[in-house]
Amino acid sequence: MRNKIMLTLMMIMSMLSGVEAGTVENLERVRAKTITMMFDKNINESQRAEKIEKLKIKLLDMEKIVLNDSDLAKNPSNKTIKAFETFNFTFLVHSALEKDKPISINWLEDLGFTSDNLKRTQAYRK
Amino acid sequence: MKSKLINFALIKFFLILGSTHAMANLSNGEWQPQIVEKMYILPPKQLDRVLNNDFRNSSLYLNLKTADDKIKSRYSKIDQLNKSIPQFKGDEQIELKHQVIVEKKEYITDMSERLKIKREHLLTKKRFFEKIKRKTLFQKGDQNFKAKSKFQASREKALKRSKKLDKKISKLLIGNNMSNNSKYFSEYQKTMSAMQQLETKIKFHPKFQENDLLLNSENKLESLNVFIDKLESELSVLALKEQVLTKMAKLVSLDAMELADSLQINIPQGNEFKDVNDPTDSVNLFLN
Repeated sequence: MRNKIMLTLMMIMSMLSGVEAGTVENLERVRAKTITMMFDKNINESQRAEKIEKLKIKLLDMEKIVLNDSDLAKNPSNKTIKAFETFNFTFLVHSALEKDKPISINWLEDLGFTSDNLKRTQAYRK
Repeated sequence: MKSKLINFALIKFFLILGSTHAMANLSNGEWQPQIVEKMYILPPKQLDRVLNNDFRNSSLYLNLKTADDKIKSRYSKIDQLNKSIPQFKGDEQIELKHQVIVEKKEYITDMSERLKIKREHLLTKKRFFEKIKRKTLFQKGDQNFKAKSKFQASREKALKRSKKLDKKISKLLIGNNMSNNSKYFSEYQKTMSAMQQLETKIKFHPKFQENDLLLNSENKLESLNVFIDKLESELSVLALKEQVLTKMAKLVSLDAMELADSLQINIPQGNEFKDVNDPTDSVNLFLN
């Protein structure tokens, strides 16, 4: 009996996870990959630029898909609501194109890591 | 005999006048609009056309048509009788006048029936438009609620920002020779351009400009209000017509009374009723 309940529970969970893997989830996966690529220490600058450029196109498509997904409006999850509220962090390519800046710089600046801010920082020895 | 007939007609006539309320309960046929809900989005003008077609298939319309035909034939009959009255004299003329009164009474009954059917028709139509109005108001309220939703607002804002960048993205892709890499964006652009063309065509379509109701709930409401007002004014006109009918009925009853009185006057003095139980009336028997 217990096994049956567990099985039903697993089935329900699998159904739920299927619903979750929507357009926003796909975008988040590519976005996370792009950000990881931005700070990957194992590749040189030209490799990074090339890989980010490739991911940029994919990311652009994903962003457009999310923006035009009318199903999202029907019953938006908290994640989806948050994603649209923070446009600059969710739609990296769009935000960068708006400001005519590279994705990485735009993202860092939105986080508050501007060149001026970094220059003003001081190193202390404890 | 004639005077008895006329008196009977008079009594019958007053009985009919008094029973108008009872007649209102008689069945005049039925009409329940059989219009599918999908048609509710139609502009009120088109909806009215559909509604009128639907009415033509109802038993109420059949009864209205029958009443119309009856009224037409009665009207011509009264007209003919009125024209032929001066051509006759004596009993024949009285008979014709009696016929006119009877026909007028029937005409009033048919007309009253017709007005009742017409009222039912207009009321059903009004109820239908009021239902559509309630639905439109509800949808409008729902739209307002949606517009107020925080997520909807941020989504619309994001979409606007993204659309502004479309040209820039297109240039970027073509400039870097990467348009083949982005499958979705190229399809998206094609679809958007097709949609834009269609939207422009719709916007400048004469019928769309004429109505502008399919999308604009404000206009639809305004138009529905115009239709409901029009129906209400038609109903008011019907009430006025009913008043005219009452006056007609009064006039016919006065005509009938006049005819009855003229018959009393025309009865020769010699035929006056003699009460044999009165000794003064029977004195002649003893005098001869």
